[in-house]
Amino acid sequence: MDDQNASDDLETLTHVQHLKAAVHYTVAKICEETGEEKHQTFSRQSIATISELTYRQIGSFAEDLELFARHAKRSMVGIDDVKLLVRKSLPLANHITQLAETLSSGTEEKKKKKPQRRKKKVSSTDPELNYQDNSTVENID
Amino acid sequence: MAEELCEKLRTMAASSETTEINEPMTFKLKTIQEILKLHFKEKEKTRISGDALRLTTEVIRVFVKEASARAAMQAENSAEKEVTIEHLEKILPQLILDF
Repeated sequence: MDDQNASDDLETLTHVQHLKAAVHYTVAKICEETGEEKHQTFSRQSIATISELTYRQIGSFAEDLELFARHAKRSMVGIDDVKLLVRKSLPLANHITQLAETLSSGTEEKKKKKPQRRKKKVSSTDPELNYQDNSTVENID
Repeated sequence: MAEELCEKLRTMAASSETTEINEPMTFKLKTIQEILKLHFKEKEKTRISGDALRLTTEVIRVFVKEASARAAMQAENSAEKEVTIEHLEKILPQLILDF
């Protein structure tokens, strides 16, 4: 594997470094937030350690998510895979399930609109039918 | 007494307003997507849906928040003002077990 990737190393290395830098930036911001809440300061080393930890954790998440999706015979990672990822801690699972519901409520509204339109069409055709029926009745008279 | 209560309520309202305005810092979706892509075994095949990406980003944000909060508590318990890697080392095993 390493031999195959050796030629790409120079290109991917800078890409990985970019991503690690991005993670480091956000981790530093979150640590700053926490520090203000708890009246603490974070040493540079501790922030660097948390960001390295986070980067590796994301890698582990990626492997798990891919395997979950593959096990369900899908190539697309979905919401259910993420729910499976956080099964170990109940509060986090609840939080994620709640967030998933708020995210999917937007798409559900779109789905609800379609049947409503159908109903309107049916209701609009009904009076016409009635009218036609009446007219035929009138004609007969 | 009534004045004190009023003041307390005002400060509470102010703090809740600021928390509503300042959304919690989180990762860029694109960053997380790129890192995930990098770690997928079958890079061409595996993709991630938008909602799933948003949820994963939230999980990672909670992970960082949890790590920093636990380390800060550890520092507080040992009566220190700065969080160092020693505090991090102590909370690390349980943190990894929880995620």
